[in-house]
Amino acid sequence: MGKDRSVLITGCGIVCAIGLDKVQVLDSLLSGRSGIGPVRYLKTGHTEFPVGEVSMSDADMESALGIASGTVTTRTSLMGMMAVREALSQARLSREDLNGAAFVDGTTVGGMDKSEQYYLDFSAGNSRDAYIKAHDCGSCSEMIADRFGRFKYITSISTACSSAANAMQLAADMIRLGEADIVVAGGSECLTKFHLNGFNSLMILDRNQCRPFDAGRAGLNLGEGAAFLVLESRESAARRGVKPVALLSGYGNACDAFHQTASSPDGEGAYLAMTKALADAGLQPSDIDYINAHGTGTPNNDVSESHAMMRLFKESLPPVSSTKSLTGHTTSASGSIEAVICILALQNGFTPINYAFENPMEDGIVPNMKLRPDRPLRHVLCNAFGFGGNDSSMVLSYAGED
Amino acid sequence: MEDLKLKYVYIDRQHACVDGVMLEHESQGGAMLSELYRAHIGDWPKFFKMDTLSKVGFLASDLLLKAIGREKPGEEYTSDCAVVLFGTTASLCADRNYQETIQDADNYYPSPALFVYTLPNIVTGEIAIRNRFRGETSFYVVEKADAAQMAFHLACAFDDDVTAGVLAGWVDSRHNDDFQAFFTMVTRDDAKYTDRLAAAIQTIMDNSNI
Repeated sequence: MGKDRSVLITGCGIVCAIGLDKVQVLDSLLSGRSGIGPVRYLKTGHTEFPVGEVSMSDADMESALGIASGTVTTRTSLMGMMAVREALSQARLSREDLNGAAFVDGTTVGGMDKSEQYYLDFSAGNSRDAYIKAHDCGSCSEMIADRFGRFKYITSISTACSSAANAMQLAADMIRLGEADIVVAGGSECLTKFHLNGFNSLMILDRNQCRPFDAGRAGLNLGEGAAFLVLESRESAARRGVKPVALLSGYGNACDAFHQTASSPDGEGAYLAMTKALADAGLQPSDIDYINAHGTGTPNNDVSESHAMMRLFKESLPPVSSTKSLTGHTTSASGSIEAVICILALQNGFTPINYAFENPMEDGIVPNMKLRPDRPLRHVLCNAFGFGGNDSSMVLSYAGED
Repeated sequence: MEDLKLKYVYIDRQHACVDGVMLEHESQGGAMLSELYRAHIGDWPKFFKMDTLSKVGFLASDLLLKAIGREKPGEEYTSDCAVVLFGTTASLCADRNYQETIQDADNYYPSPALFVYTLPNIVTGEIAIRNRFRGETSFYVVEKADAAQMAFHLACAFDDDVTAGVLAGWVDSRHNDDFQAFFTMVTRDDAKYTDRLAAAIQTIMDNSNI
């Protein structure tokens, strides 16, 4: 046995289209309830595209968090605060405990929502400078972090749809290297016109409920949300007397080097990322009991990812599903949102279904539609692939009974 | 210990310099990038589709790789070369160009060609695609150019056991006609002493006015 390199996860929090906390998200996963529907909160003319919105207005979230109205916030930072609050509470971390901790946030859209609302004002000189200054990704990360304590280190990772997964990987690196005992890591991303229009211009949005890995799939539905996890060293958790909810036992990142936005048809980048994650965890493909696929529902991704999974797992392919069929594609936050979904699956012994699947695609995997797995879940794989060919994969493992 | 000297390429809106030698050109700004591409590269037509940040990064990296005698990429992919870039503006220039396509309700056309560049890591992707690099690719958005900080991150790229070289650089683009970049290749030996690497990067920046 080699040295145990796994990093403990001692708390997590989530907010997305299928729930405002872990209890609600678990309930939606178990009952297979999709959160995708008509646009309610985003001010857009493109109402033909269903989306996975968090079912609270900015004002609702401010009120739930006890933030005085008039305070400068962004939707990205508000959702992030909801998720961090839940994660810190589960990990039993106080404000003082965070002084030596780090905060790593994955986001790409940042404060774009408020920039869209106030940009015309700003450019006409009726400035709402405070909101324009909140535009960049770093300011959203700081807004979230500063609400909870004085972290010794704060950074933002912005690699599009693999941002939150990469934030967790940086966090785990910091713990393995002894740079920090506790790192709060994850990602947050709200819907904006900027990227809804952008994804529409790439012609990868489905006008109906998205259908990952289905023959009839016609693109993705955008979603929004946040999830944060408390990553902690074994020594620190033991000292504080907290038990892990799961382990991050391995991870990998690889560059696809194929196209600015699309994945290579053979899924080389995805294959490399998953291979690295397994090697890092010291596991064989047959050790993996479930895969939470990136599974966006675009024709390109699902072919590419299928090829990568079939190549790596051959006959031992475990149940695979894309929970983006329930949450929508939460872009930068998807890596941590799906990591929390994996943790809920590990803890509660179920395999999330691939909602809306009907017909198998040619030359692709057949996704999981069975909630109860044939064998207990010990290790699961969670994929997140981003524009720029930036592919990440993580192995999350069962941490034992409470 | 001897000082470390790194070969580098420097480009701004009026100048392009390879290892201390100025390249001749007639135009300036964005037009200069196309002129230099035609004169020195010419075999990658996707260049013309790129945003300014990617054009500058692509041009500087290609000129550098040629200058240090690295053979043109073949069919094989390699994981031993990382791409680690720094800058302050990130994709702001591309963001602005794209925003203009959705600004006016009467003339509304969100351009896919512009949208794909609204992330700073696309330039690292473009360089990786060109050179078939499958190693680490990162773009650090920083407040200001800081040689010590860059040297630290570059040295970290060697913490694995596959990276033999890092294509490292600084690239900023405020407008389509206003940009600044330097690119250099850092080997594992170069990164052995972080202070010495920082001093070498500082020298490049002093010479380049970054």
